[in-house]
Amino acid sequence: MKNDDAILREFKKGNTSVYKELINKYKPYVYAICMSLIKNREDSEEITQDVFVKIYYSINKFKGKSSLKTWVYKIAYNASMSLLQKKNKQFLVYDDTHSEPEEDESNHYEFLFEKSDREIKIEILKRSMVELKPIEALVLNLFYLKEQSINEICEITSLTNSNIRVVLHRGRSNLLKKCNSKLNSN
Amino acid sequence: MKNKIDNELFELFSEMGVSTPDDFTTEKILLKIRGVENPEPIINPIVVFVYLFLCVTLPALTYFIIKKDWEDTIESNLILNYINALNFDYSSYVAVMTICIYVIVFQIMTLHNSKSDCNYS
Repeated sequence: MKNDDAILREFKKGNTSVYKELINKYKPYVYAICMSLIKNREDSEEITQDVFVKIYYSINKFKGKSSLKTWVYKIAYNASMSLLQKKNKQFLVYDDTHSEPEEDESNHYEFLFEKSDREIKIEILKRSMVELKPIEALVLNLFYLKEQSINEICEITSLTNSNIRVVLHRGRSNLLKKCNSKLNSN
Repeated sequence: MKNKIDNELFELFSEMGVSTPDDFTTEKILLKIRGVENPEPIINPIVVFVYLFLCVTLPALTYFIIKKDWEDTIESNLILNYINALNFDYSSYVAVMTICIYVIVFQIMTLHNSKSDCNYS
């Protein structure tokens, strides 16, 4: 598979057939971002398609200030947010005023270091991710799955560095808490 | 400790992977792009109205205008005289036919437009 620079170079030269490679490379990640926020298969599918149509027509405007990956994720994030706003869904991006008291994360480490079946743990993780707040699920996905740096996540979500750190910490705590309770109830 | 937790989470997330979209997503995206680049012409309803008026309503109106003269013809024609004897109401016949043609053309137009819409979605 060609790297991003090669795809961009060929696309800008007029070889639009390379766009298929870009779609195949990023569609699972774009879809995962949409699913983290929208939590609905059909809408996420639709938004994923729209994101790639939008990228096709604006890729020539991409100036390379960030990586292509970050730029693609930002478009997916904005498209998902627009849909949520259109649906008038209450979407808590980050609200420090209603923050819950910080909980000691170490209470929930059991899930991580428990020597239980790996497949069961993965299944529990998947189910717990769905139950998280959209922004927490998104930040955890970007950080742990797509291995984006905090600064890149800031760029994608337009949140500040400290906000992302708080969301990441809170999301991880909530995730481990949910995983732990599911593991114990199994 | 934090690194150990992060490493474990990185590992779990990478094993979890991502849920993939529909197998045909790539084809659907490429179809959408082609649809935007080469949009199929959508029939303008105003054009259809004008067309219907010229082809259906105008001849029907003409028929009603000359109907009076035609009734004189009926009397001198055996077959028409027979039909006339059945008290067949020509005006209702023409009215029903006109409505049918309107409905058929509109159905075709709606089907055509919904097909065009499918190409965009």
